[in-house]
Amino acid sequence: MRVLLVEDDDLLADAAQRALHTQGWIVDRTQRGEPVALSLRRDPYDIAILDVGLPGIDGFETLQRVRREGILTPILMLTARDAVEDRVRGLNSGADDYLVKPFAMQELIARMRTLTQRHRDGPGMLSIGGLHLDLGKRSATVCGAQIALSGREWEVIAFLVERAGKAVAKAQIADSLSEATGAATDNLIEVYVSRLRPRLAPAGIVIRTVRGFGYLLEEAGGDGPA
Amino acid sequence: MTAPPELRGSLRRTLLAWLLPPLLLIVAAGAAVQYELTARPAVASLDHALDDVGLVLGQMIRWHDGAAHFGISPETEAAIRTDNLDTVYFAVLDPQRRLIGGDAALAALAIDAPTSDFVGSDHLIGGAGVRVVARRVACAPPGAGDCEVRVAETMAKRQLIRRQALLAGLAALALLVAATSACVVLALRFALRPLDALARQIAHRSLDDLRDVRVDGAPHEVAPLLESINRLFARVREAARAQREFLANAAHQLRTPLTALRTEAELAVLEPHPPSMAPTLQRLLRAADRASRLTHQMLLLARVGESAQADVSVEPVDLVAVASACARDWAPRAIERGADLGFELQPAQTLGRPFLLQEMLSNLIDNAIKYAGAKATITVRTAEQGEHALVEVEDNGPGVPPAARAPLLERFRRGGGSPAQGSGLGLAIVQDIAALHGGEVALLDAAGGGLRVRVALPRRPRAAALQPPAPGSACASSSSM
Repeated sequence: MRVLLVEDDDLLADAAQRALHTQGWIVDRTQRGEPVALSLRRDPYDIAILDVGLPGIDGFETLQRVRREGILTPILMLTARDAVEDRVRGLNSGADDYLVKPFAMQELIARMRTLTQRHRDGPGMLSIGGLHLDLGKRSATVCGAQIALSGREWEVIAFLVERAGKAVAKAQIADSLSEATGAATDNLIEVYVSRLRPRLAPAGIVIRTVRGFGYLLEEAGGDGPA
Repeated sequence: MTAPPELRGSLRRTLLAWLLPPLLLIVAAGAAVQYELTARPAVASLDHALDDVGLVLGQMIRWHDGAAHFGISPETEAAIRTDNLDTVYFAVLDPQRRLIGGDAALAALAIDAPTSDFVGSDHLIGGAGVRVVARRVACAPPGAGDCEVRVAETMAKRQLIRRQALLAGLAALALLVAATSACVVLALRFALRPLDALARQIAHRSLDDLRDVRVDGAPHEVAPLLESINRLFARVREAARAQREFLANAAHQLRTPLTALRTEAELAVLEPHPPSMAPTLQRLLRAADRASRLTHQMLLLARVGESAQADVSVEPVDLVAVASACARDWAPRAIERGADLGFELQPAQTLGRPFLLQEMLSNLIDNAIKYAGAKATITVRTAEQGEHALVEVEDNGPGVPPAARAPLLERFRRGGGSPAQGSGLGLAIVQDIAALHGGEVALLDAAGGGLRVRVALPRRPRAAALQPPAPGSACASSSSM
């Protein structure tokens, strides 16, 4: 995977470069925003990491120029500011994700994987672990084998996969179902989730319960409890 | 700090000292004038009464055989001499100033012959003071001279009149002094009320409150004082703002190198290294984490300070939405650490700043995850109880002994002997934010022996309609974990 790292702080850029090397990724660095659009168009980067606070044109401006030129490369913004307005502004300018300094490198890497995976899948496709969803055909495969899902089960799993790694309130899932297929209750959501769990397990996917709140779908890695 | 300046008496006392003595003098002078005005005409009318007697006596002088003669019947004389209080004397002198009737003692007094109608003067008869009125009476043919009639009485009536006038004067004086003093004191109290109000306002003000002082209905004389105080407040505000800005800037500037430090430490842990280095690298990583969290909390403190400059209780806040936002933010981290983070959310509404309340709850959850140990069960609750909107975070960790609880709410204090690494600001920030919203923090025992932190905020008044939970924005909390 090829990464463009736009960061003016040498110390951080060095450390990030070495960390991304450990993943076997190729990292190119620049300290300024002006050449970013050209670099992204000329070379096949899989993702760009863009610091907001750059000398010359800042990260927001750089991002806008890139998107104006129709370049769709996933872009993850870094900022030292955690004000909510900044977050919203970044995402509105066409950033795919947003990370506030100081962050854990593991988190950066995880988010980069998700973004590039999503980009590779193309629009209408979602995948995590051994699970692949085709949003257009409304079909799901676990390790290449298609699994049979009811309409509502499909809605639930698509909703959760789209928000993988994030806690989702039961009410939120119920609301999204109601729009699609009529009223649903929290109890019903619990039934769907308990039915989905064993079917997703072979793909290395767990749906964790957040007690009194909802669920969190993630890849069963070494970091969480078994 | 210099010693407070010595207080030089009170304004009230100074005004009284300048107002009351002149007032007393004026009142005393007024009383003297009044006494004179009362006593003098009364005494003068007594002289006239004596003169009237003299006139009557003058009618009784007859001129025949070339000499003046005076005759009075015993009844008339008795009538003239009758008086309740005083002894009355009279003497009738012929033109040669020989006594032709009346008292020799009176005739013997050396009194100049009256030049006009009558003349009053004071004399002594037999050791007692008397008032004498002498009148010239034309009793002889022209060229033979005039007779003189003297009438006198002792001073008892006159003294009585003077005494009464004096008493009346003194009573008026006392009344005036009392009324005037009362007016002055009342006027002072009324006029100095804005100053008292100002003093009360400044005395009752919280240390964080640097807003301008306002006194309703303050007279323009107080305006310069108010202006000076407010100018001073403005300077203090400016200084506090500069300090907060410095704090925020410093925290911002630290973030990038801290990320680098953290990344280097992470890399060192991941890369091949001698086993003996492992504990050091782990400590390095933890220290970097702690520094990251500290910078975040410094920023937060700067923001809390900023919010303290305005009334925060303006925006309705749905605590369920706040807790939901924190659930989204903290559930992944709790799962990562093997903690069971759960929620029991009942409707609860308060007034305030959502991002601050979110930070408050974030700090509580963060603390619970950090201190309750691996595999801890942590429960976040919201509820309304009486006039309070409650936010609670309970864990089943080792808990905190009651004696060690109060210091936890102070800045830079951590639970003693705790293996976890906190910044020492977490609960202090919770305390600051709760206080800013008019709430209180209580550290209680959890049912399972752990710690239960309860924040009681003022409930949003019922009249306001309950709003559905807003779609929670992500926790504006540290992403350092």
